[in-house]
Amino acid sequence: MKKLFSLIMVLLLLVGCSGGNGGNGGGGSDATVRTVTVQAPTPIISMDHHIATDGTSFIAQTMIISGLMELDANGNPLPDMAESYEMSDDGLVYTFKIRDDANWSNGDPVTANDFVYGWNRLVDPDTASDYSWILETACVESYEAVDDKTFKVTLGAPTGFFLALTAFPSFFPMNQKFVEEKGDQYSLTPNDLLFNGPYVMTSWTSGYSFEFELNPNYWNAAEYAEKYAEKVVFREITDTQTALMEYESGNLDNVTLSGEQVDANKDVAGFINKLTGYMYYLSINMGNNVHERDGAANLANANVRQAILYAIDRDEIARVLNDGSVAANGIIPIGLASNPSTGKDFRDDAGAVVAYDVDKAKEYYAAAVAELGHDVTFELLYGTDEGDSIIKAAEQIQYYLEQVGFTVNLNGKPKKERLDLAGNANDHDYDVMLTRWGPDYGDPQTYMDLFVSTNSSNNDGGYNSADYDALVADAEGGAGATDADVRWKDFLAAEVQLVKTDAAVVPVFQAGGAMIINPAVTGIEFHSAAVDSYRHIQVNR
Amino acid sequence: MSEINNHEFLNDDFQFAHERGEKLIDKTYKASSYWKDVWGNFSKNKGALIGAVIILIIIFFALVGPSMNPHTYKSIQHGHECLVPRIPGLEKIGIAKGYFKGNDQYAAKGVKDVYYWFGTDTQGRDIFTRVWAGTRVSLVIAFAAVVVDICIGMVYGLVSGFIGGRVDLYLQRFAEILNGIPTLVVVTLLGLVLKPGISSIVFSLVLTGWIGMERIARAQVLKVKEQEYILASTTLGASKFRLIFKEVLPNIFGQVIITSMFSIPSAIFLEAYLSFLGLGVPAPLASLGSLVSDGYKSMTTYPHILLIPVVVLGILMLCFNLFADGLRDAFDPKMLNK
Amino acid sequence: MKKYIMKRVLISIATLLVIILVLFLLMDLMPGTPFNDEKLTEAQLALLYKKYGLDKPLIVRFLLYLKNMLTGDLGVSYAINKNFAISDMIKGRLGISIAVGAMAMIFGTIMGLLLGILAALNHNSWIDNLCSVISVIGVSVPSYVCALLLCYYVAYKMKLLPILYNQTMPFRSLILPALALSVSPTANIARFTRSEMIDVLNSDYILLAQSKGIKDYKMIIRHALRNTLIPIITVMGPLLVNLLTGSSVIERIFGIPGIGLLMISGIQQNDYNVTIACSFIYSVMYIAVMLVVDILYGVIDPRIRVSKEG
Repeated sequence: MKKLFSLIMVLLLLVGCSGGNGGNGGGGSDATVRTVTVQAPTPIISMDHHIATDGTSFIAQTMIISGLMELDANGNPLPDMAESYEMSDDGLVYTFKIRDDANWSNGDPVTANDFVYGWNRLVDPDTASDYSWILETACVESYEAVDDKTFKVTLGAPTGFFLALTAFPSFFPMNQKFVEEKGDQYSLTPNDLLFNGPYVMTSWTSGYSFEFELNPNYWNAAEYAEKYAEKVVFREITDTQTALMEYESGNLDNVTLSGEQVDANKDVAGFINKLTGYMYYLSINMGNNVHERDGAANLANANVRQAILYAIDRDEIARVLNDGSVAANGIIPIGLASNPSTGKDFRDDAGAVVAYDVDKAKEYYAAAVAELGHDVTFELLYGTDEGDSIIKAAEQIQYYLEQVGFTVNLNGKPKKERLDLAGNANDHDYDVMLTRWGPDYGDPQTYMDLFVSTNSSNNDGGYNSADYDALVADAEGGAGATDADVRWKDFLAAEVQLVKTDAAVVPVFQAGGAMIINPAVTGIEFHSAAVDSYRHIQVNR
Repeated sequence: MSEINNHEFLNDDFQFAHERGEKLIDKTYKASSYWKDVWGNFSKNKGALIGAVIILIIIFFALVGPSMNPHTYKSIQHGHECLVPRIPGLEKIGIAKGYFKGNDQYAAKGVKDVYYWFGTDTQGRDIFTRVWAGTRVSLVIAFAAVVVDICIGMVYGLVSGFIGGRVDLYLQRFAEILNGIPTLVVVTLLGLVLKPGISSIVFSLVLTGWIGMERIARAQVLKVKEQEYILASTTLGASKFRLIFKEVLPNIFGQVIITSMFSIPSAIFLEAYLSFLGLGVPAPLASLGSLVSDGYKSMTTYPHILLIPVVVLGILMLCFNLFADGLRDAFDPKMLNK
Repeated sequence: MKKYIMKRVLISIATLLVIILVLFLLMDLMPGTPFNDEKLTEAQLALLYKKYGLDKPLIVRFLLYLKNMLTGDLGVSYAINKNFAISDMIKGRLGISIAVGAMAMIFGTIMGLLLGILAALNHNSWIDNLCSVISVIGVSVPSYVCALLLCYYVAYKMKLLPILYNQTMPFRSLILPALALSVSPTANIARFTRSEMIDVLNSDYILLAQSKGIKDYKMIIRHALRNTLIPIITVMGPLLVNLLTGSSVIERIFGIPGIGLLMISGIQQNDYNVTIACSFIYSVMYIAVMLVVDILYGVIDPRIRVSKEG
């Protein structure tokens, strides 16, 4: 008892003594004023750019490794490891000239062979990379090191987005000697990494933080030393409320806001609403009904699907979510791709292919009931661990559908279980699912490929339309392969076919991210169809 | 002590009682049954009575509350999001005026003659209706938690502790294995076999909710079973069943009741986690637990969304405890004799 | 006594083996795979399964796991920190979780005992009622609400302590999380202490001790508290295990890299090895604490020892 008592006293004393010097330094509490502390949206999953699949890992990798190209603030490719490049007239052969002063942090020069090794490793089945298909998608037919500093890539078809893709981590170079020397240990700690990008990774504590400092061996190190942040600290904070307190106390330079926090903070200096590329849509099970679900049986009826399409007020849902999300006007998100001739965004060209019209929805519903002979009930599957917005959106969608006459039962499941239910493993055991797709590259193809009848991995709803398949095939392999304008028109028509005519998928909203960024910090660049960039941060404290 | 030893008795130290001239009448108590005694004790306990009355009031609201206004637990009023409470009558004396940070929120949203008694949530749903609908769910869970605690946990602990030896060893190892696997792993798997709803919640409680009680019941038994009255009863030939339920049980009932009351909130919060796994009551139906965890998200912006379910839960718990305290005192045989 | 303890330890090890086996079975039943992602194709999935040896039969995997475990190898993470050795992931996190948990337990025990004793000594007075109200509120308000309140007032408004966990001042930044976590143990221990204490204070031997003229506080410590402790240790055991193995919610709020969050993500992302390792740590702690509790019974109450050995 006595011992316990003295222990308490000691503890109390400790607390009391240290209580005096409370208060926390500002964001630049480190010695240098050019330190930036940003909120890491999620933890890093892997620093190996062939293994990682998530945004945060990619962000961290673009800090320390440079590809042939990098992206500017608007997502346009700028030369990085490649000093210059030449494209053949038919757009099929790219020849990259790699900088003479491009070096790895161990002193080795960056050579064309590093790219060859990196790309080989990407498609090697032993690597088991989730992105092994991406070379094929980019129509890469072959690649070779002409000499140490010349890298030649041959494409099967002219691919407009190829150049921008070389800034994507899957296409990054790799130093064969280093990677093979490290073996299984490669990329597990900052010491097991080699850098050729503007920053080096100095620490990484999973669940807490990861930090970067300027790389003196970067080809552009002089400019970086002069202009950009000397140290970038990513702090992992998941709770939005304590994160905001931390930001307001001056310990963080940016903070992501939840929908609840937006109203109180939308007039704060540095508030932005960025759009992400994630499109949330209802996947309707209309053709895969092994389980003989009643709901799925009804959904094969075109009028039922049209009723769903018109019943949802997407603007209201986006307003209620309040987290920067915007109503979807089609399956292709805003900012994904632009018209090859006019430069207009796909969404502007396509306009709204969906609309909210209760009366029309009710008419369709009445027609459906007349055809089926009974009222329509189905289950809406959604993810419970994919953010509050998803749960809210599901409840809102249920509300709108029930206004029209449907009976909708919500079925909330954790994400892995949701995907498992809807996927092939369970023979698509669902009626309607609120799901999402994030683009892998800035082209409508990343969405359009999902719903062709031959895509067994992603076309969970079993959509099977000869017209749609023909349009997509024409765009990717037919006339569109050589004529960018035809390709563009094909995709425009395919979206109308998929969404408006067949109502096979019902787009709901494009996810946004409300955020406050310290006005003293600039250069955090968000790309809706590529990896966000934190490598151009400038501080002005 | 020494004083007593040295004392010598004198003749007039004692006198016959009947010579004192007192009339000694045996006080005769009216024979009363055990249950009458229990009730007598209970009804004398003011706190317990108040607790019981408030519980009844809450049950009344849980039954009637959701239909006291035109809203339902899932009806969404667009444009009415995040309103603070506004109650007719009370607003005249300055309470629940619908003002938020000094502004009339209702006027700002252009809904001057609308009253939400408990306000609305971030989707424009009436919190009054949702709280009472949620209380209904949570009361069922609370009841289930207590039943599971008593029927499984207490009995398991009693038997294990009293019989002891090999039986105790096996029963305890089984409980250890069950409890050695984190609850979350167990309930996650339940999502596979069960349909979401009250029954799946009860089933998860049956699987995992009783072990705390089992430990306590067993410990209590270990404490009382060596006492003399048990020995007396044993020598008189009482059966094991009688010993456990008639002799041991009443003496540990106090702790058992307290423990089961304390397991209610954890059961209610377990439900909130279960809904997250897709096992609790399916959205948009709410429970107090899920209302609290939803409200947490707007705690620093619109605290009323959190405060209201927390207060209802707090009052409910307080009353359950007052009530349980009364029960405990009423049932305790030692108290009965006082 | 020695023989008894030996026997119990052996049984506990056997129990742990059973638990690992059950965990393996449960993992096998989990829906989905650790590699579940919108973007994976069937063929890639099969490849990943092969790479990590998940295509082998359950029993082979179980035996392999046991063999590796003896050498301290708990496998690698499939999803959370791909290809990381789990023993490395856990090393740093476990220490922090134990630190927070132990602090919370100390706070909780002290406050709980004080409140409980205070209430029992003033049975049926306003002090008693106040203590009851405090402990009832303690269990009905979830720890995350307390945590955010503490964060807001103590750290954000008054700036007395850091808001988030900070590696450079671990002790100071863990005070608030520990306080938030201690609310529920405080309430539990207070209620138990009160109710046990009232029982004990009414028992004959205390009346005897009182009539012999023993001073109040001495009586409480020497006679009443000792007899009150047995059931309280029973509640404290499981509370302690829960605290030491981390609380995911508190860790999330304060940004603490602890083991609770790791386990939750393990379960959510189907990272089998992580889930098994974290559950295993939990089981080891649970069984160890239960063992200690059982042995402590004997130390505190000689009567139990007699009956056990008999």
